[in-house]
Amino acid sequence: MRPIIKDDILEVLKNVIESLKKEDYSALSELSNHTIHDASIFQEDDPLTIAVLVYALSKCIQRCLERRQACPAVAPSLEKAYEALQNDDDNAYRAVIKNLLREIGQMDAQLKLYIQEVVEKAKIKKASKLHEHGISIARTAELLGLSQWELQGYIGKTIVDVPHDGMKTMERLRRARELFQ
Amino acid sequence: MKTLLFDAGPIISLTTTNLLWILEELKKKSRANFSMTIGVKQELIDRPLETRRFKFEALQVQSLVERGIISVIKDDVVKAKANQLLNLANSILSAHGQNIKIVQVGEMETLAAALLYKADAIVIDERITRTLLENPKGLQQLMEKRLHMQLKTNEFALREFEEATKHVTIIRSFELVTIAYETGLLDKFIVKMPNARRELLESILWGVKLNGCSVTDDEIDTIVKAEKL
Repeated sequence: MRPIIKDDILEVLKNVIESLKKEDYSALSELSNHTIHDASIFQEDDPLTIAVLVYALSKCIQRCLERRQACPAVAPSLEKAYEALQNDDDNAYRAVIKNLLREIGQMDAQLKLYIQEVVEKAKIKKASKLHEHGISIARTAELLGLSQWELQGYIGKTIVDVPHDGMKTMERLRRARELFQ
Repeated sequence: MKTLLFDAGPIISLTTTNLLWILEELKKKSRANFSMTIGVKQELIDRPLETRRFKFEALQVQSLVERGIISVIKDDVVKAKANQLLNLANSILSAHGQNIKIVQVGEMETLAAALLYKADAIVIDERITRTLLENPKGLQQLMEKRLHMQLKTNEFALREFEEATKHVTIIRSFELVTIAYETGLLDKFIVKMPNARRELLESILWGVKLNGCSVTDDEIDTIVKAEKL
């Protein structure tokens, strides 16, 4: 793993563990965006996976709190992941994170927390963040193993207008009209 | 005969807005040739047919292909050209010594096919690819703002990409539905209500926007005002 990515993931893990211990769950969703810059530039699995994991975790915890159910006890696993990464044992780190994602998926299925699978939803959410950072929808979908069908609808309903200063509206329409004359 | 190359995005926007049928009518009126590459067909039809979600949407697109409304281009030369464009596009901007992969091969296949088959326009709803083609410096500014850092530009790759794509005209599903409205294809939806025509136009423009066509609120206002409703 690149040192820059490793440092950022360690920072995120440290903050997530602290938040969980303090039961300050509100920070989790925001923390899930901290590796998006790395994900946009390097487009490797690790920063994307941690972003998806932290976001899925935040949603699971949020739903558990709403339903007054016990929150998932994931801090020990995250500590294990942190330790592995600090010791440069990337494979052990990835194994822990993979297990955690599976556990969250299973918990979601058992508790029927969400109609749409929480991990899938987290992927879409993080994909839209990547797109906001300038990566095309198709490339983003490819990176997260999503279909453009599901991603495009979400992006259409959530991304705030950003004018791109290309061709003017009426000029584009004029050209389109010429094509259909 | 005019030729339009479709990316996956506009077909998705039109299908999910229940407006895919306008392509058949627009083709009848204009006798234009509508095409998509095999890569776009795989994304729109083949993959969703293997799953439960979006299967019906895929069937609707497949029906257009089977009836010859949209033809599918399968050409190794397109693939080679697409890879060349992909390498250029994805080496224009870099950070931390790493080229940023902005686009995917499927999008570049559409562009490559448009160049090789001398298409009159490509239909792309997606903002990033469109900005890369029309205003690459604007894309750089957007990314620098989002990433909170300066990006390095490979001027050679940028020039080559701009040179290769300078004659490409881009339209969106947004323009297609506007033309469908202007040519009366949607008149059956003019109902008994105040400002019925205006409501109809706004509904379709917002429909494609909310289903993924990249268009600003101001652009919708501009079109609605221009139609003098």
